[in-house]
Amino acid sequence: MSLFVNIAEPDKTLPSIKNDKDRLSWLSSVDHKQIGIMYLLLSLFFFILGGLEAMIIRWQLAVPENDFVSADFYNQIFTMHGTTMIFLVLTPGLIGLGVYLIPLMIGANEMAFPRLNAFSFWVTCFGGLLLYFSFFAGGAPTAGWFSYAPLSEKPYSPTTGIDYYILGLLLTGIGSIGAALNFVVTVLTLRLPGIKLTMLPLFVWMTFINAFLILGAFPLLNAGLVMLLIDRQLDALFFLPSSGGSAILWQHFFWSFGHPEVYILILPAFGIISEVIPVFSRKPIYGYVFVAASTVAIALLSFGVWAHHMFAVGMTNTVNGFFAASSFLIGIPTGVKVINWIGTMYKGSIQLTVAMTFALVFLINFTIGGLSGVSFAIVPIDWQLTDSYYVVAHIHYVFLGGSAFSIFAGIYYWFPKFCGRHLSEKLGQWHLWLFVTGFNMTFLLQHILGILGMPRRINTYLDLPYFESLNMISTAGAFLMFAGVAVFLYNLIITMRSKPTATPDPWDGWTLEWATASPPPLKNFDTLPEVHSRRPLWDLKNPDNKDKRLN
Amino acid sequence: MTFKDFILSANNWSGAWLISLLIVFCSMWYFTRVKGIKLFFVALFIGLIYVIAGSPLMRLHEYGLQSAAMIQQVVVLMIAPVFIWYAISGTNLSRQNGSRNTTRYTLFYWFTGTFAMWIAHFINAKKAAVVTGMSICGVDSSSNIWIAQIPDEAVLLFLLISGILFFMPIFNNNKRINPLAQIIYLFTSCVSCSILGLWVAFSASISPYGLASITHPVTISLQQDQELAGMIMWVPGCILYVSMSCYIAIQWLEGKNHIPENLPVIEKKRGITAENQQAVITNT
Amino acid sequence: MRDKGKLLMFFLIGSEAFFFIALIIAYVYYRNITHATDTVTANLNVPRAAVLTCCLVLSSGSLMWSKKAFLKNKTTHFKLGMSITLILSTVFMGGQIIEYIELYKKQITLDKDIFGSSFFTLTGFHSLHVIIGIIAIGILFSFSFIKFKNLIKNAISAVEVYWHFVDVVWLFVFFFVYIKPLL
Repeated sequence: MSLFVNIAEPDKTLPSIKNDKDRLSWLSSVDHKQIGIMYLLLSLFFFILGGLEAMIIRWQLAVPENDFVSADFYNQIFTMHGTTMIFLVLTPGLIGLGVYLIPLMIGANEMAFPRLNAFSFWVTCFGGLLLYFSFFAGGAPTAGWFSYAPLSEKPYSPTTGIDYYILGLLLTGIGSIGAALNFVVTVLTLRLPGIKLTMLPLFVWMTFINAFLILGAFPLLNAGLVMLLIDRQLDALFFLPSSGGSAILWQHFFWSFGHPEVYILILPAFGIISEVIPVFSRKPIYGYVFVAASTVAIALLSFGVWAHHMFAVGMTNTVNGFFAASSFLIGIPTGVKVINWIGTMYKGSIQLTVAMTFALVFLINFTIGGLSGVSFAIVPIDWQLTDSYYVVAHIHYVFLGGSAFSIFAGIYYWFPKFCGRHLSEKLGQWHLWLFVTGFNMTFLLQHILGILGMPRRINTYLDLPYFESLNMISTAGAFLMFAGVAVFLYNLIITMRSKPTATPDPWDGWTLEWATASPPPLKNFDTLPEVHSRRPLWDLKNPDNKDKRLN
Repeated sequence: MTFKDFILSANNWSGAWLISLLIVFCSMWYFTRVKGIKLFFVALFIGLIYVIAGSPLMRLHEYGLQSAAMIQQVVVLMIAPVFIWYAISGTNLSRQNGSRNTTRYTLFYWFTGTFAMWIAHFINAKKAAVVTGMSICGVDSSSNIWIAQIPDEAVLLFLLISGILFFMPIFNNNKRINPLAQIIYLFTSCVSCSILGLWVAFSASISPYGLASITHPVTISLQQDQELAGMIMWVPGCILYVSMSCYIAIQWLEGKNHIPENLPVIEKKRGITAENQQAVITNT
Repeated sequence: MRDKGKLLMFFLIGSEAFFFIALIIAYVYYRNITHATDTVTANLNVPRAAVLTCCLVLSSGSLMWSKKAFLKNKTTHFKLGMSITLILSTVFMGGQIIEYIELYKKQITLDKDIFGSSFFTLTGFHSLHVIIGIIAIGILFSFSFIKFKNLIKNAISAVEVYWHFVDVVWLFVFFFVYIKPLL
C-alpha cells in the first residue's frame, strides 16, 4: 500500500512575488530555490538593520565625548550589531546560497528533506525576529555578542534582553543544525549517478564539510545557552561564581562553539571563491586536491584552538603555549588555499567582472585579516591587544572582508541564475569600490587605534592624541560603505524591474547549475549531461579536449 | 643532578631492552625478509619502543611524572601502531580489496582504541598517586591499591595491542572502511582524547595538591606536570590524527587506484520519493 | 546506505552527542571545583536507578526485536515488541519522576546549589529525549493499527537508532551521576 500518489512533476516556472496568485506560496513553499532566495532576503534584511546599527556606532564614535546615544543604548546597539551580523546575516546568507545551489550543482531536483529545509528557514527567521523583539520588550541584550557570564546573569543584566538573546540564538542554532543535516544527507544521497564524492564542485565540498562543523559546534553553544537560560529563569547557579558556579565554563562553552563558528562562516565563502576565480580566470582550479583536503584539516583543527580567545583569563603558560601552537598550525591550511587561488589566476585570462573583482578584494583583505589573526596567537601580543580596537579590526577583516565580500562575489556571479537578469556591472563597480574603500578606511586604521590603546565596547572616549582624527576617518569610511550598500540596493531594484534576459550559461561556467534555464524551472533538470570529471559542462563544450576522466 | 645529567646518565638507558629489541629486529628481518621502506618502518617501530621502554622516560614515569607517562601513552597508542601497520600493508591507504562488507567490527575497534587511553591513563594516575602520595587527576591512593601493582610493561603492551587493533579499519586492506568514514572514525576518537586531555589538564588546578611539587629528578609542580600531560594528550595527539586524516583525504581525492567503470547513459531515473512528492504537492 | 531517514538520524545523534558531552562535562566539572558538601548523591536511590537502567537497556533490545519482526512481516510480534518497549520506557520515566519527587520532598531543587542545578539539568535533558522517543515509538505503534505500513518502514530504522542513542546516553549519565561517587 502506498501512501503517496504518483503525479507528474509540473514544469511551470517559479512563482514570483509579482504574481498575486502565488504570493502565499512563498510562505508554504518547500522548494529549495524559493527557500534559498528567502534565506538571502532574510540575510539582506538583517544586513540593513545591522548596518544601520553600525552607522549609529560610528556616528557616536566620530568625535570624542559625544552624547549622540546613551551608554546603555550604545551597549544594546553594539551587542545587537555583532549578534545580527554573525547569526542573522552571514550564517543565513551562506546557508541560503548552499540551499539554492547544492541541489543544482549535484544534479538533483530537491534537497533530501524539503520540509526540514522550510522548517530550518522559518526557525532561523523567527529566531531573528525574536531577537529583535527585545527592543520592544524592555531593551535589547547589552552583554556583547558573546554574553560573558556573570555579566549576562540576572543580577547584572536584569532586563529581558539576554533572555531574548538566548532564545533567538537557540532558534537560529536549531535552524542551522537542520540545514546542516539537510546538506549532509543531500550530498550523500542525491548526487547524480557518476558524481563521486571526490568530484564535487568545491562550493559543494566545502559546504558539505562545513555542515559537519555546524553539527559539532552548535550543540555546544546550545548547551551553554540552555544553562544560561536555566540560570536566569529558574535561578540555577551554573555561571555565578559567588554561589559555587564557574564563569570560565561559559567562556569555554562559548568559544568551543565560537571558534568553529568562525570557520563555519568562512569555509562556504572559500567555496564561493573557489568557484568564481576559476571561471573568470578561464582555468581549472589549481590543486583541487589540496584545496579540498585543507578544508578537512581546517575543520578538524578548528575544534582544538578555542582557548586562544581566552589567553587573558589567567590560564597557565603551559596551556597557553599549546593553544598558541595549535592556533599557528591552523594558519597553514588556510595559507595553502590562498596559494592555490593565486596559482589558479597565474597565466589565466582574467575577466574583471564585479564578481571576480570582489573575489580579488576578498583575497587581499582576508589575507590581512588572517595575518592579524595569527598575530593574536602569540600570547604576549594577545595580552597587549585583547579587547582593544585591534580585535575589532581583525574580526571585521575576517567577517566583512572575508565572508561578506565572498557572498557579494557569489551574488554577482549567480544572480543571473537566481533571477534571470544580470545585475548592472557599472553600478556593481560603484558598489564595489565605494564599499572596499570605505571598508579599508574604517578598519585598517582601527589596527592602529588598538595599538594606541583604545578599548573596544566603550560608548565614548577622551580626546587623546590621534584618537579623534583616526575615529573621524573611520566614520567617514563607514559612510562610504553605507553609500556602497545603497548603490547595491538600487542596483537590485532596477535589475528586478528590467526584463529577464539572462541565458542559461552567461559566464560560460563549468558546473551543473549552468546546465538548466535561468532561473531554473520548478523541476530543476529534465536532462543532464553525463558527468565524468569535475567540470561536466567543459567536457560538453570541448568534446575533443575533455578533462581527465574520474569515474 | 641536573636534568641533563639525568638524561645522559648511562644508568637510565636500559641495556637489556636494547639487546632484546635488537634481537627482535634481527629475527624479524631474517624471518620475514621485509625490504626497503617497510624495513625502515620496522626499524622506526623498534626504535620507538626502545625510547618508550628503555630510556629515561620510563624512569621519569616511575618517579610519578604524569607528563612522561602521557608521552609514552601517546607514542605507544597513536604512533607506534601506525609504523607497524605501514610495515605490514604499505603506505597506500586508498587501496581496497576484498569484500566491502567489513564494517562489522569497526565499532569494537573504535571502543578498544578509545577506552584503552582512558584505562591506561587511570592506571598510571593511580600508580603515580601511590608513588607521590598525592591525588592525581582525581585519583588518590586511599583505595584499590592493587591497581598500582600492575607492571608498567603490561600497561604498555596493552596499549600497543589496542593501538594496533584501533588502526585496523584504516590500514588493514581487508577491513578498511571508506575514506570519509575513516576521517569520522579518527575525529570521534580525537574528541574522546580531547575530553581526557581536558580532564587531565584542568583537574590539577582544582586539586588541593595543585601547588605541591615533584622534586626528583626535576622540580615541577603537580599542576604544571598535569597540564603538560593533558596538553600533550590533547594537542599533539589530535594533530597526529588530523594530519593522518589529511593524508587519507589527499590520497582519496587524488583517486589513485581508481578503476574507470563504464557508466550507463544517465537519464533522470531517481524516482519520485515521498519527500519530493510533498514538495510538488505543496507547490501546486 | 540509501535509507535517508536513518542517515539523517545518525548525523542528528552525532550532533546531540556533542550536546550531552557538554552537559556531562559541566556536571563533572562543577562537582569537582566546589568543596561544598555533596547534597544530591547522598539522597539518590541507586538500586532503583540500576533497575531502571536495566529497563531502558531491555527496551532497546525489544525495539530491535520488534523491528526485525516488522521486516519479516510478523505483525503480532511487532506489536508485542513495541508494547514491551513502550511499557519499559514508561516504567523508566515513572522511576525518574519518583526520583524527582523524592528529591523535591527533601528540598533538593534546581536552585538550591550547584549540585542540584547540574543534576537536574543533565537528567532533565535526558528525560526530555526519552519522552520524545516514547512519543515517536507511540506514533509508530499506533500506525500499526491503521495500516500505515509504509510510513513505519520509512521511520522505524531512524527511531531505532535514536532510541539506542538515548539508551547509551543514559548509561553514561548513570555512570557519572550514580556510580562514580560510589567508587
